[in-house]
Amino acid sequence: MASTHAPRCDSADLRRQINELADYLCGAVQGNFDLLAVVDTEDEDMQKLTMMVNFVLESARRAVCELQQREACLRSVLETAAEGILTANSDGIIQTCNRAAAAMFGYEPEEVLDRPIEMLMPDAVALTHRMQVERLLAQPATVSVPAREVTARHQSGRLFPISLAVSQAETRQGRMFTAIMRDLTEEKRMQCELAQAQRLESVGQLAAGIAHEINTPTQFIGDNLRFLHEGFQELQAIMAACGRLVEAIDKGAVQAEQLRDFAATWRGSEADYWRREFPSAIQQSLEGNERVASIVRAMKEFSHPGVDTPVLASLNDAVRTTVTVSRNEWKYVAEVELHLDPELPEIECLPGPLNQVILNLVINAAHAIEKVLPRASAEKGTIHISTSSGPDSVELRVSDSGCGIPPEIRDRVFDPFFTTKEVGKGTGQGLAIARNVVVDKHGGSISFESEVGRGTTFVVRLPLKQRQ
Amino acid sequence: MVGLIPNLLLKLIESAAGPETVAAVLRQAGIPLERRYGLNRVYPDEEWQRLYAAARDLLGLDEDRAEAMFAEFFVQDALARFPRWFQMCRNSYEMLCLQPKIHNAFATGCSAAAARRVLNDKFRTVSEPHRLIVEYRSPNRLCGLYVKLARCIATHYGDEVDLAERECVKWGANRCLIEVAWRRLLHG
Ligand code: HEM
Ligand SMILES: Nc1ncnc2c1ncn2[C@@H]1O[C@H](COP(=O)(O)OP(=O)(O)OP(=O)(O)O)[C@@H](O)[C@H]1O
Ligand SMILES: [Mg+2]
Repeated sequence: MASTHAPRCDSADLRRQINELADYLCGAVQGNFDLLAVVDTEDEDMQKLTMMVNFVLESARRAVCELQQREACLRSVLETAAEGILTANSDGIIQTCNRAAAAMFGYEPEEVLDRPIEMLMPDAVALTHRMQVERLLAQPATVSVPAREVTARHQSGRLFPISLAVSQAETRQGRMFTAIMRDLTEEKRMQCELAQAQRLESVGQLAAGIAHEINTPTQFIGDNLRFLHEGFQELQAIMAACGRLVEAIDKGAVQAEQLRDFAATWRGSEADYWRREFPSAIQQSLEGNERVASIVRAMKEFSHPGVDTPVLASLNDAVRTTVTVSRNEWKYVAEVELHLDPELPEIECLPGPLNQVILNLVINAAHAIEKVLPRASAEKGTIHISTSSGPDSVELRVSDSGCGIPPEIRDRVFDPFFTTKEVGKGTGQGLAIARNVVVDKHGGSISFESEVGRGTTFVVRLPLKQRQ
Repeated sequence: MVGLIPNLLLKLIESAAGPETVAAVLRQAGIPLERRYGLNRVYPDEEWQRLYAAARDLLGLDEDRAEAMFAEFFVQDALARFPRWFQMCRNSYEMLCLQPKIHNAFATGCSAAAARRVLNDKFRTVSEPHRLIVEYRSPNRLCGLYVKLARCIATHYGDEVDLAERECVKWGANRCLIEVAWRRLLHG
């Protein structure tokens, strides 16, 4: 007879089944969620319990699976990230480190795990590092440190620049720091090459102006030489007459006829005129020649082959050189006034890049003046360039009477590729390169003061000596 | 089909017509007389279909009547057996939203892993305020039972609902679409 009433289990049976279920749960304690309970029971409450236990086990298994997958996914993102990513605990001990981070410093990931983060820093930085961590720890975990440039230490001992951003999170193991790093070595090298390229490019751009500058003296040297040539032909007639006269004197028989002939030649010539004009024609030619020579010299100076290590050089010379090669760029819109401190000490610097900085400032000044000059007027503005020295630095000021820099763009003018100029006139690299050269390559500073409608002064400060 | 359902059907037959009818139904359906449907075990859908057809036949019930009777019986049993799920819901709207999860708990909770996938996702719901669209896909074609159960649940919570089947496999659709709209919720 079919009965829907399940036979009642006795308590021994039930105890056995309960223990069986508990066993399955023990498996779960060990993290084994794969085993589902198969309790052979006719007791419906026990079936219900088994079902719920399995449901919980299965849900836990899925959650663990999903977590593992997410972790694997995160790990692969970390591992394939181009950025170096590492985490450290509040004691500064490295907890995780992706391949890119390890490679950046010349290690295998295992070699840095559980070691102090200071091993990746130069000693000078490591000394103050703990203090910075303490300061961060004192702040809420939401505070992060935006990317900035710092010096790192390669396993080989080589120091190299990286960009470093730090964020923190509160975890069950306490504060955890995440550092995201990018090696800047290559970028710096590119910047350097870019600057060098720009310098060569500007020599190219200046070439037309320079050709013009050379053309003017060359032309009047030519005029003067033609003038001297003409004069010389007349002088030759006089000299021939002189020669004849001298011959007669030598024979001891000077005749009146001969004297008359000489006097006629002399009077027929413009000897007086030539005597007056020759010296200045010669002088002018020499000056013209000197002018050409100095432009050629300046060009050579300006495109100074890139030296990687600083050399002693005169900032005053650099100013003169640059003003000379760029003359054609400013002479139609401005007078350039130089106030160069004659006592200015030489500084340790990279002359080529520094010339480029001065050129960029002078050209910007000329453009700013051009903007405020009425069209087709003979009026000109002024570019005032001065140098002065302090106890351990020198200062260069380039002032213009141009349009000024409006307040709303003041904090962007140093950004790469920021320009307000039309296509072809500016690419927005001038000041970015100037800053790179002055600040990054020389440890100096560059700033400006500006008043719209009155003009701008760029101030460059350079240390006398370069730190090694 | 999870054993709870045929288990309850046999109980219903026994209470309505006695143990002899249970035996007759099993015999007509070609199911061994000693079959005990475990709440957490899984049986072939065809077995259930044979069982259900034999029960209707021997009790002389049309589909509508059978569904209504079974729904009534089923809800009484569920209330007694799983009171917690009913307490967790303030009204029938919340209960019907929870229903697919309850079913998935059964599917997930049965130890036969292979059967799980088949059981899962028979029901999918899209809920809007005061409205629920239920998509039901199953070879057992028990959409009528769904409607009756939903009405019983609404009555249990003291709510007023309108129930309509928008699409049905019995009309040639590839799934059933049931719309539940609440005119009144007693709580919430
Ligand atoms: C505590 C409440 C409930 C429990 C414990 C429960 C349990 C179950 C179980 C175990 C099945 C068999 C599932 C399968 O094998 O696929 C089932 C089927 C079904 N349930 Fe429920 N259910 C509950 C509430 C509801 C409600 C509220 C409705 C409808 C409003 C509903 C409608 C259905 C239908 C239509 C089926 C047949 C599915 C098929 O096999 O095609 N159930 N239920
Ligand atoms: N002396 C100045 N007076 C007014 N504005 C200036 C001056 N110097 C720079 N600026 C502003 O700063 C912007 C950026 O200057 P920067 O030299 O970096 O680029 P640029 O002159 O536009 O282009 P590039 O130098 O590459 O040819 C200029 O476009 C201009 O708007
Ligand atoms: Mg510029």
